[in-house]
Amino acid sequence: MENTRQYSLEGVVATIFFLVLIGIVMIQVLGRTPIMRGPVWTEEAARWIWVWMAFIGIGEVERQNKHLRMGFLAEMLPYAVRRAVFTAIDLVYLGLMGHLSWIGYTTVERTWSDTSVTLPVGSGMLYSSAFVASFFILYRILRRLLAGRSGDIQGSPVL
Amino acid sequence: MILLTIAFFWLLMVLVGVPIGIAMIFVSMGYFYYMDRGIGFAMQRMVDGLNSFPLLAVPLFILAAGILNSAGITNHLFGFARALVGHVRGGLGHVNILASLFFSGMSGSALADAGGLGKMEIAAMREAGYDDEFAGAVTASSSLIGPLVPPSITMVLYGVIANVSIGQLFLGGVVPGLLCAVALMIMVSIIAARRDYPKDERKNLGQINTLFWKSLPALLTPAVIIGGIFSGYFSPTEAAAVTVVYAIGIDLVFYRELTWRRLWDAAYETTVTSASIATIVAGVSLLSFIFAREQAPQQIANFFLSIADTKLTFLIAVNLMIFILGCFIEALVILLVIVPILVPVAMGFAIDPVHFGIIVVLNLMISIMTPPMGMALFVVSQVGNIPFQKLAKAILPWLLPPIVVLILVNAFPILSTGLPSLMR
Repeated sequence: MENTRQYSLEGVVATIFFLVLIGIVMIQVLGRTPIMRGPVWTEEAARWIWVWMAFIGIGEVERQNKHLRMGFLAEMLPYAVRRAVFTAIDLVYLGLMGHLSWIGYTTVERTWSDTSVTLPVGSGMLYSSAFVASFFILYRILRRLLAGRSGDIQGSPVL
Repeated sequence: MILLTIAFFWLLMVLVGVPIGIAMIFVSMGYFYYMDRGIGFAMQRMVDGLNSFPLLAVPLFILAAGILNSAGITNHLFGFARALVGHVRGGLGHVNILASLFFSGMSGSALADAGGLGKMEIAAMREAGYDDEFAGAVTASSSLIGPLVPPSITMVLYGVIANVSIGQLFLGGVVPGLLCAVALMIMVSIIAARRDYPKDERKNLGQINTLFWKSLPALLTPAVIIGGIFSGYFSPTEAAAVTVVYAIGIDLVFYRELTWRRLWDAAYETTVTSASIATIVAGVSLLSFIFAREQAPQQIANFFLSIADTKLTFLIAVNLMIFILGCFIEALVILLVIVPILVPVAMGFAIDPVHFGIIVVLNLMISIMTPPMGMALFVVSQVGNIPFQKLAKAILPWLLPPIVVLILVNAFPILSTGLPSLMR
């Protein structure tokens, strides 16, 4: 019963990234005051951490089944039909994520030695966010498939 | 033909219930497989689509709203609004709108308003003898003020995709936001007079004064944001981070209701919501590449040029399109998928991008209260425990005030461009 747990590893990691991100943006703001010398790395670091936070967070979105969706037509289907349709969709999703994971790996390999503008690491570190996140997503899709919960429809409004 | 096929499969998947962002990734990958090119760069494009500093303002403003709701600052705003206008006939209807206006100065999300303030507003109105339909409809319609008055998550996203100054957009939304509040209050007055709705006892000046000082730190938030941006001290993203710190700060000093646990939960929930938006942004980055390859903007521009030959006819066509699509498609999707294609066409008609942005945002906000897919209706129905069908029917007359404001904003660009032009 994974949904009874309030937090998950990927959710906690993504939230920590978010809190660090706020700290970095505040350093950037304070860097313009007389109390601090403005660091040059803050904007790039904040962007990279946001990308990491967003991709890792997708795993938690999968766990909570909170992707934005329009489920009203699916809700009209009998549960058994809906479950069959969504199991098929999840299988395609699983295959696609597997391939994207491989593409992510080749992207990291290709960009690893590219230098970042202000950070002492290669661009591969930025692109590895998607590669790492793909494992969390794959794990969550697999869990959903194995638990037979593919037909559960939710979604969260945003704006 | 390829574009139509992509649109067909994407819509089909979305209607079946595939998450909107995932459906974009599915159709984009389908295109890459079919064309046998571009696959190797798919992940890179998705990452690059998110690698934007202005985009960071989105989670930060969502968190600011979450903190305000968690810290109970909304209670003080509601109390102050009630002291100011509660004594008018149908007072709680006016309070509802005024509280949304106050809240909108701190939160950029209509649904944070509907979900946070809404629960409290509907409970108070119910207790005072208002019918559920009226309470729900006022709550849903007043929530549209949120993204018009700065800060605004919708405007941040528009600014990113249209490459328009977010600060200018923030200012451009002020007058339309205030006009919406006035138009909705006129509507409340008319209905309250007809149905003889109750009113509170008038508060004395001393009571109003006390409530004002309690609310003042929260009411100053828009001044911090706009002041910071236009003094050149903050970028909008930095202003969003400062808003988060400010919200925590005023709670620590004045309200003392925020706990570590609530703060963590607000951050956690924001992370999940932001990741959900990020999936769509990543999907849009893939689609944008395909649109560019298939020359979609040119095709759409040609289509609009064939049906509209003046600025006015173009605006009418765009407004009708967004309004109709908004009844069935989530506002965020219209904003991220359709609007980027329309912006260059609008520029071609010499429409100010700030003016166009305000029109789009106002129209999208109307769409969140239009059945059958109005997200504000879902939220209000949920937090107010009002049957959706009842609310969907009750909201219809409430569409009129914002539509009148939309027509005015279209007809008189000065309403949206006047304030920004003063700051240029």
